[in-house]
Amino acid sequence: MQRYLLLLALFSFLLTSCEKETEDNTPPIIVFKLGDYTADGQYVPVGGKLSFGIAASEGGAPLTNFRVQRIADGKIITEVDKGMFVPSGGIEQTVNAVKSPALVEEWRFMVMNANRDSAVISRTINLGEGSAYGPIRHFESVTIGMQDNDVYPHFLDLNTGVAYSNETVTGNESAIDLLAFVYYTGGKWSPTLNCPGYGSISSYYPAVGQWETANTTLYDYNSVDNDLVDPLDFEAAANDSLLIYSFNPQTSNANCKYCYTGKIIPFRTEEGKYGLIRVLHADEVSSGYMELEIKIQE
Amino acid sequence: MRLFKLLVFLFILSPFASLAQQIVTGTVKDSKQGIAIENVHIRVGKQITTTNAKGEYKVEVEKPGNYLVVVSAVGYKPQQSKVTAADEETTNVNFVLEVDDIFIDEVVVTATRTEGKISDIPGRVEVVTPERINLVSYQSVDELLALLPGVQTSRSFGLFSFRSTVSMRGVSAKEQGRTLVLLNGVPVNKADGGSVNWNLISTGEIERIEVIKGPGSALYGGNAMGGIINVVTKKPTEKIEGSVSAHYATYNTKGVNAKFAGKLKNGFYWAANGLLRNSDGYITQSPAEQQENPYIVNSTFEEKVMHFKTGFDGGEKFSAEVDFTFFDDVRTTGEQVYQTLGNTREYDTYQLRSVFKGGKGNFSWNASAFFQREHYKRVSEWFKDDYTWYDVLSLRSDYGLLTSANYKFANHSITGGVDVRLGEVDASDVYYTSPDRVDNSGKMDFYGFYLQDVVGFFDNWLTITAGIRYDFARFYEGEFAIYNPSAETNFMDQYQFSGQDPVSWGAFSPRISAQFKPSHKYRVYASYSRGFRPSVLDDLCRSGRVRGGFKVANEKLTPEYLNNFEIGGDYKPTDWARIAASAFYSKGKDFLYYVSTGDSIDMGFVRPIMIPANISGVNIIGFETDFSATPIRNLTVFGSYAFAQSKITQYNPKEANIGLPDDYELPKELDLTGNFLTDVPMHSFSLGAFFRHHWVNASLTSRYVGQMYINDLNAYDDWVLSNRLPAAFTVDLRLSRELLNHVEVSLSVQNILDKKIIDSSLSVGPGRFVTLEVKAKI
Repeated sequence: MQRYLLLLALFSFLLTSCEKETEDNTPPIIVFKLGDYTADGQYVPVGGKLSFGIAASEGGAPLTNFRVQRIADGKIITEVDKGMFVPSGGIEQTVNAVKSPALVEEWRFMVMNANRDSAVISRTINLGEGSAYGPIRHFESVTIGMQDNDVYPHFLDLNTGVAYSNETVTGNESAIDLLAFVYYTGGKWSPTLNCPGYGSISSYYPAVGQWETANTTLYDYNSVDNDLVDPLDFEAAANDSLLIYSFNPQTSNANCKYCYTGKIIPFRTEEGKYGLIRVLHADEVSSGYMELEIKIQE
Repeated sequence: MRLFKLLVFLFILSPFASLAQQIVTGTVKDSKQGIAIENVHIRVGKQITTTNAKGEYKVEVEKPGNYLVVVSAVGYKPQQSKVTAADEETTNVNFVLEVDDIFIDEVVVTATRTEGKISDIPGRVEVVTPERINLVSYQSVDELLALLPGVQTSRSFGLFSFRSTVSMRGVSAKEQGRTLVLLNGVPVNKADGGSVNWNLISTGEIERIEVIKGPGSALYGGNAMGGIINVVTKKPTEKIEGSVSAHYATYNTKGVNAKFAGKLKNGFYWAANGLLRNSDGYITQSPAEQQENPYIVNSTFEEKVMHFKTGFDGGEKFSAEVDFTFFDDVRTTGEQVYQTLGNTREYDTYQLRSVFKGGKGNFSWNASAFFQREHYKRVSEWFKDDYTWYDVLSLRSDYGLLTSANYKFANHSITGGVDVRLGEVDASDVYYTSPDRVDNSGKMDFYGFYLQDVVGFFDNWLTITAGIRYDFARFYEGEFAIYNPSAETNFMDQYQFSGQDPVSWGAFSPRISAQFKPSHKYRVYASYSRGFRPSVLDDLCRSGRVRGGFKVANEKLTPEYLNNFEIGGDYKPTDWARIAASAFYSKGKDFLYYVSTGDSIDMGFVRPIMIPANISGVNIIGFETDFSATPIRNLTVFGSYAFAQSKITQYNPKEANIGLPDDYELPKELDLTGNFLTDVPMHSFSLGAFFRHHWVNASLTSRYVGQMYINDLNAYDDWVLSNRLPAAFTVDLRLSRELLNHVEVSLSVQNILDKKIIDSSLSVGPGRFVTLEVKAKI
């Protein structure tokens, strides 16, 4: 009798170890916000500013993806493709862009949650008359220190060209777009441009991990690796057209390696401003520095 | 559920199958100290059993009459006694054994697929004995093999590893698929990747481990290239026996284990074993990786194992066994962003094995059927410029039938049989931070038949073994498909495939060997054998990220081959000492490597595209020696040394039919010719001692593993700051003592010197690991 009871106990353990979880399959919701944003069907001249306000809620599972696509001239360009994990409270985003020469652009905004349920909305923008390329700011020389440099400041505001040190950055964290470090990767030392919103930046700048606002700047690494921007074009740039069209969102990353002296790097800031950086000097040691020339949309 | 009902039904039936029995029982003791001897081999007629911890045995015979009781044990002179078993009565026969030759000629099954003594096998066979298993310090089954000469184990994080590899004879420890692993004679290498989940083989179940070195494909087919490892589990000997134990170890590791078993009347038996353990773990990443990644956390684990078997032991005439294992674990891999456990690997595995044996006169046969299903889930998440989270969900199934028949006549022993092994994989990479999904699937079937003859001359002074096997394999229904691609997977778009024609190939595996054994004191042998390792489903039908780049599936892969030439011998200078040595030369052909195609791919960062291809020739030269001595009854000392030089002799990507352009020139810096294989130490040795006494049982073992190359290029590594992993010397200690006859307490200290060992995946081992265990026995 005892052996039967023992067997029964063992089998019961196996049988009861399975539990069925209840799931919430409510899909996410995405809507356009009201406000000073580009309207559906609006006519915007080439180079003109586009602005879209988005609000999304997660539905039955955390929000995990926000994607923005521009469909123009038969091509689909993914402007934003951001992974996230938002368990509650939803998200609000403002997407800034620049009107291309295409006659008609369809802008698609999608969110997905952890159940792989998604929601999509779209807006159509037409080409207006004339051109609206805008002015740019030009900072001829800005110097920042690498992670172990204690002479130069580390944290750069690309809008103003002002660099902040560990002490002066307090209270100005939300303005910081760029910082730099050196590390060994792919068999060589790499002077690297990065940003506060990058996942592992606190490995090099521990204090950044505590910032409330950590902006993400994206750099076009393909353009850097293949020297796609001509230095002469960079020097001649007087409005933002080169800055906009040099940047390919589909080959962009917040970590830009191998930014050696002479490289030209297209970028886009968190708020959607396009720009170009020319590296005037880059050390390949962590105690070194970088000297940058910057052109950015006003 | 159906399976549980069947097992319960068999168990309920067993009492009704019993008949009135005649019982022969007794005890076996040591003549010098008068203490009971455990694990003594007892044979009464055709019934076989072993003594328990109290030296007691009991055998039930079918009918009254005269029987010969034969008693044998390591280190003692065998004895026998005639006994008359009266009708429905119990007859008592006790034995007192005298010390003799320490080394009994162990009987193994794996080497010839029939029972045979080690000394009769013309090759290098090692056995991890029950005594060693009881005395040595270990946490998992594969660790038991580390002290054998020429055997290399790779278990990056110790008990926290989700993967472990055992290899031998200079074959790289990166690939488990180059060594065949059996559980009670049934293969456990998966067709998907050739890997073995060593964690699911419960340590409490093991009786012994048979290790056959050198290619064994002439009998077993694929995977038996470097050698064969057969883990044999225990069978009960008592009407009811069992134990419950609890252990506590470093890093807050806790576990409980319960084992119960019984041998019923008329040969039926059953056994059940359950294990639960978990640990808070430690950080396994290197300091450099910790500095770069703020999401590093401890690598932890939680696992449960349930094992149940039942069978009928009718002696040589007929026996049958059914065996079921359930394994469930979650092992975190040390990185957590948002998910509750962070990055994890989970295995839910079900194994069902059945073994049937029988014989009459000079004919014996054996048939095994097996089924293994593994649900694998890998959770991957990381945060760089944004958050990425995806799961790998894979269903891997392996099943088959193995048969063997043996007929002895004159001086021949002929063995032959047919094996069928089928494997399939159905997997998906499901992304949660983008809409992508990547599916890959495929099937692989193996059909093999073999024949072997062992011929003895001059009263078995000279034995010649000749065998041949042919395996036919077919890969079919391969598919690699991407759905809703985004930047995460659209770079793989061009590598999708499905509906391809099946690909098949065949492999011959011959073997010939000769042994000269003029006395029990020494023997010499020479052998040639060929082994092969089939391509794995993962390389045949999955493209994706690998370390250092992006790999493309290659359905045209063929097996790797290894031809092995070996000489060796054993010598017993005294009754209490033994020395063994072997030297071998292996020539490998069509070894698999990832070849850069010259193109690169933008995965968010640019990486080279690589394709697995059979492109390499390999030469392995090796030598092994080991000794064992028991100068006094309570003390055994042992040691081993192994040398292996494994080099790539040929590296020809253009010959691999992988679509390289005609004008392709292999860059000099990528030519592997002349390079050493990774994960193969050129020198390794072990040294140890066992001490057995009723006050305390103790084992002290040490192991040295020489430097090993880290990567295929034999190039400098940024993190290790060398081109080779440093050598490692570890010392383990285990003490155990029985209290109050029913309680055993043990203390185990692994890696006493607290060496932080790094392997080629640049993971850091757990260092010193201390375990305290208390066991209560029935």
